[in-house]
Amino acid sequence: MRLAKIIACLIVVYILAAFVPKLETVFNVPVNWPQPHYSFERNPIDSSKIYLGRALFYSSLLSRNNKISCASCHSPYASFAHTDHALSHGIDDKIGSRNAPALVNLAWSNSFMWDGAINHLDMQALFPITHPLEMDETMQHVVEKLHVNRPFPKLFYAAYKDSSITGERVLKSISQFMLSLVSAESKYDSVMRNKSEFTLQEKNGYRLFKMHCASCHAEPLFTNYSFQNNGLAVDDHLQDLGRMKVTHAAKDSLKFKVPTLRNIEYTHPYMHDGRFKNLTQVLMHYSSGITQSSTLANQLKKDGIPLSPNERVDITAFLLCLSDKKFIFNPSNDYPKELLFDK
Amino acid sequence: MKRILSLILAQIIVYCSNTFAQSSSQLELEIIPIAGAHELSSEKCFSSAGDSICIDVMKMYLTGFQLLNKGVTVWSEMQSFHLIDLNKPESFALKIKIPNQLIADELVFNLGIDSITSVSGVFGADLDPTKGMYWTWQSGYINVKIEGTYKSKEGVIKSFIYHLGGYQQIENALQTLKFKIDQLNSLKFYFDVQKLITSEIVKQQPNIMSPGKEAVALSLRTKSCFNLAK
Repeated sequence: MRLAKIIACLIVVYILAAFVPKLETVFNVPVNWPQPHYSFERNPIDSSKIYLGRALFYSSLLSRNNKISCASCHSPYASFAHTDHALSHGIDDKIGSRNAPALVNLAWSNSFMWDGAINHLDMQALFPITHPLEMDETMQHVVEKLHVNRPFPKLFYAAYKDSSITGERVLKSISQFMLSLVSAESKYDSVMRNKSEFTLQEKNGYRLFKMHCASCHAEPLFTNYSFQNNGLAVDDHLQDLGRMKVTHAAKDSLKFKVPTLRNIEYTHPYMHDGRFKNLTQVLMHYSSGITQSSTLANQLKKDGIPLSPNERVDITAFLLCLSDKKFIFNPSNDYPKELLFDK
Repeated sequence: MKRILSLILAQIIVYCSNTFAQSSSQLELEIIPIAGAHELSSEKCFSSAGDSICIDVMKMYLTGFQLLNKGVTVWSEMQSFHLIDLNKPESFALKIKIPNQLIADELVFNLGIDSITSVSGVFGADLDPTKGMYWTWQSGYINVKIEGTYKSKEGVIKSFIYHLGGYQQIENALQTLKFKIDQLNSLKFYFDVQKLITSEIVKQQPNIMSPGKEAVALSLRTKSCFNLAK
């Protein structure tokens, strides 16, 4: 009898569930882009959670001395990278060991940090929050501070419909904001959508790019998310072996994540240690500065990428087509100034 | 209309939950931390080969509880993640809901977090990163965290830190434990810390804080620490 009741319940639930409205999502995949890697099922996109995540991203409460926020090293005007320092500038003026990367199109990324040490976007923020050279705080203390500091209790309530603040909610909210950082409105995108045209120089740069660069910096995200040794000489001071630190495998020595080239105009300096100040230096490295080693990317083994000065200029012209000014100057990505006046 | 349907649906779910709830009973599991033949004292110190070892922190994840009958799984706990903490005695008593009139002759559980959970992002409750059991510099849960101090006969004092974890292939430190059982009301397990932390181990390698073969080797020893009380 009880079994019959249970089965009847399940049938009714199944029928009624079809009528219940589904959660509205605001995550749009740009035309002709692949499906994101991030699984939204456990963290459905919601505008109030994005807003909370944005407030957390810009909050210095996440650091031990309440002076450093995520945005300290990830400025919206640098496509959420950091242009002032080759290596991350952290708490108490400490300097880290890697260049702060751009935060853009992260929903498509399957690992995080230059060496892929972090396996999920939700867990990414834990690294800088707890790193002694970055924010040097604990998640327990962050949660305690958020409980007693305006406007967070109100923002958590608005996002989660109750006032509970947990580590899980903090991290998922920061993920929500980072997921919202989609850049797909560059000139390149406009050309691909037949709404604009490259100049002759940009067109030649695009041709050269596809010939020499696109195997790693694959369209439309301009990365294939792999780890490669791109022939940089080891920095004597940093002694950074890259991916090998995570996998402990010799085959991964000196390999670093292939970064996206979107908004590259704004994300200088370049490389994992910020050693190149401009694109000219980057292209000179690929054409004449490759350091040979056993793990070097196959594409670079024959003396790198031979490029004439004119070709380097044309490739640069194309790379500038990846700038998305709408994204860079989007006020929705900026510091939520209105919270300063929150009562 | 949609609002009304949502309310009806909620009522039915509550009714169904109650119906299910009535058909479940409770398995009580108690973990008793011991050091050799003695219960771990309130100071959490014990002797090993004449040296003294004191435990400051001892936390571990017991997960993936299953009941088997004649080798076949008859029940698995959903969201089965339990953090036990030496400094929170209440965490050593687990009350797990199981279906009524279940027949089982074996209990299986894991010591640590499985690899799928390890790559699936952030979770709450006992898996919340605020519990201090998630590595922040490289993704992955710490399955077992034991920290303390060692004092040799000669008076040398040394601290030790064991953060055992790792979920990838050969670095997978998760341990699965199986125990034959003859009833499903309450089960008591002894966790003998002396089988894991000895003066010899502390002297040889006082710190293991990242995934790797050392963490796997020490994790293997944790299996022998658990014994079902007769």
